[in-house]
Amino acid sequence: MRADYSDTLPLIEMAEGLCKPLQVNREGLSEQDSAVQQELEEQLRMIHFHRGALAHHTNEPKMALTNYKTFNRLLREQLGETPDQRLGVALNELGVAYLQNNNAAKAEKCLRESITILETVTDATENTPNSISMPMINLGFVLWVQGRQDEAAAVFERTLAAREEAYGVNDTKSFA
Amino acid sequence: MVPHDLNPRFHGRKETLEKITDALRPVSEEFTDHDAAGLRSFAISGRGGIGKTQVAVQYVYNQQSAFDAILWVHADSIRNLRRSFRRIAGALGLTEERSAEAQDNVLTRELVLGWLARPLKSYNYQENEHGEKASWLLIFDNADDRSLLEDFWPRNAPGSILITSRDPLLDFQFFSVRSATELPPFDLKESTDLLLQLTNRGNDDEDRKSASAVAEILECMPLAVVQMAGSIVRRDITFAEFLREYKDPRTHATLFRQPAGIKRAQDYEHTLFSVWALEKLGHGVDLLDILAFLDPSGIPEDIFLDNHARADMDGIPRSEIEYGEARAELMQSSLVSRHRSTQKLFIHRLIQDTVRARMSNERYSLVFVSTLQLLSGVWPYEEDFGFIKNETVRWIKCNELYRHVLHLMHRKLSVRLTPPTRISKAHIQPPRLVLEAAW
Repeated sequence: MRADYSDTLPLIEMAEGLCKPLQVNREGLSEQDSAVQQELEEQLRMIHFHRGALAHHTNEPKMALTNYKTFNRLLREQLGETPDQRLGVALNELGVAYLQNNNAAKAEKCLRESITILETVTDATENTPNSISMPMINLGFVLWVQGRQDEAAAVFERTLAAREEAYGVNDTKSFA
Repeated sequence: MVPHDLNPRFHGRKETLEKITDALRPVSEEFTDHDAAGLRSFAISGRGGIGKTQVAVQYVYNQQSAFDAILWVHADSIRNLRRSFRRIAGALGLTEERSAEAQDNVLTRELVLGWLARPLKSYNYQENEHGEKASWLLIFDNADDRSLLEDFWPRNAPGSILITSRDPLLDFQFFSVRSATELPPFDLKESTDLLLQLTNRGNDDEDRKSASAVAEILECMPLAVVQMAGSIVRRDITFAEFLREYKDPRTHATLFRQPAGIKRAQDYEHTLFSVWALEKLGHGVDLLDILAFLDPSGIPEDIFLDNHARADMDGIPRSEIEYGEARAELMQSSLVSRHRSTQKLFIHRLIQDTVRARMSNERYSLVFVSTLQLLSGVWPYEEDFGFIKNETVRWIKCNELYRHVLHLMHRKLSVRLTPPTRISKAHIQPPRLVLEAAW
């Protein structure tokens, strides 16, 4: 996300302004292919995701949680029970939002689910250390703030080892 | 023979007037060897409403004693050129009033051109034994279409010609124009002074500050300052109120349409709505409409070239040739300028505001959406959803295009949108792009 957050919210609102009227006009859409409808729904979902991310970066925990919750609900509605990388990513963000709102128990639950999903989806397994690093690191912090230092250390060590195996020691190429 | 009154509020332009005076000084007999034809000429170019005609009028009044004959020609259309020449033929005594000759376009033109080549003060040899020659000044006002001038241009004629034209590319070489200047807008101080003078405001520091802000959003363009001053006076509002109002693009249509209401030169009734002759545009109109929504301080041309995005609007130039033609038309009218080495277009904000103000809500929405569709067509999207990879190679391109998305948002341009009635895949692109930009 860009550094000038004061522009982000108005832009998100503009995107919403462009999306919402399209939603109202779904009648015009029904004759068209369902791909358009799906894309439109994804845009509307992403508006919540972006709002969540913005709130996250600007330290507004309540707004982050509300938007990530909505995003996760909408995504689950679309995906059903199929494990999907997007859901894995979304659960990671939701987990962090719970942690920001001092709800470590719910945060832990989300992050563990995120890791499980990301470990099972194919395109993520090709790149497992990188894909699951985020929820792993966040899980480490969640355990730590709950005073479960040993568990936290184990998670961090496991994550670090996996990354070192994949990218080498102190690598500067991968992103985490 | 000047169809304009002296403008009592004319001010500034000293340097330009000096340049014209130097260039058009009447030729005295002894110098004619130096310049075989003895023809002197000067062209003032610049966009509509910048004050080209006003400068010409001022020059004429300053210099009226320097010439024996001052001949004003309306050069904006063939009809007006002919009419002006018929009138001049009569005034010079070359045709008799109400005679058949006086109505003959070809004859009057030839008579006038003949006189300009050999401008005898009198044909009566007793009165004019030595064939004493008159000095003359011919003004081609609003000569925006160069091809019209060809038949009316004096050749081998000892005199001075002043041209005003919107066309900055006008190849005056052909007409052996020796010097030219592009008339800039006023500077901020000049336009602030003009605004304060026209509105008769207190001129205290606070007034000056907000007047200067008004002048700035009007890009110091004389016509705009005069017209908005009229609106401010008529409605008795403060500069601050005007600024607030102007921020909402929905107010522009009304503001730009109202004439100044201040006494002006008789036949100059332009408002911002009409001054750029936007209704006369051909191929350029769709390109101009799109340009009206982009950040005016540099629009990358690849938005129009190499772009295969589907857009709602018909008529957006797509091939290089179509684009080139559209651009040429806009450049000839001084509506758009181009920086060749960076391949960017530039357009004035006020022109953008006017172009948008002239659109119906339906057209406005269509162009707005199409602009985003075009931007989306050249935006380097990241393929994967996931932990955003922040691919730095995209950043330069994103940054360049981001400004344009931001411009739509900062200028509150989405307030006039009406949703499309039937939507397609192409309609997903605008919000998608805006969301991407927000990231």
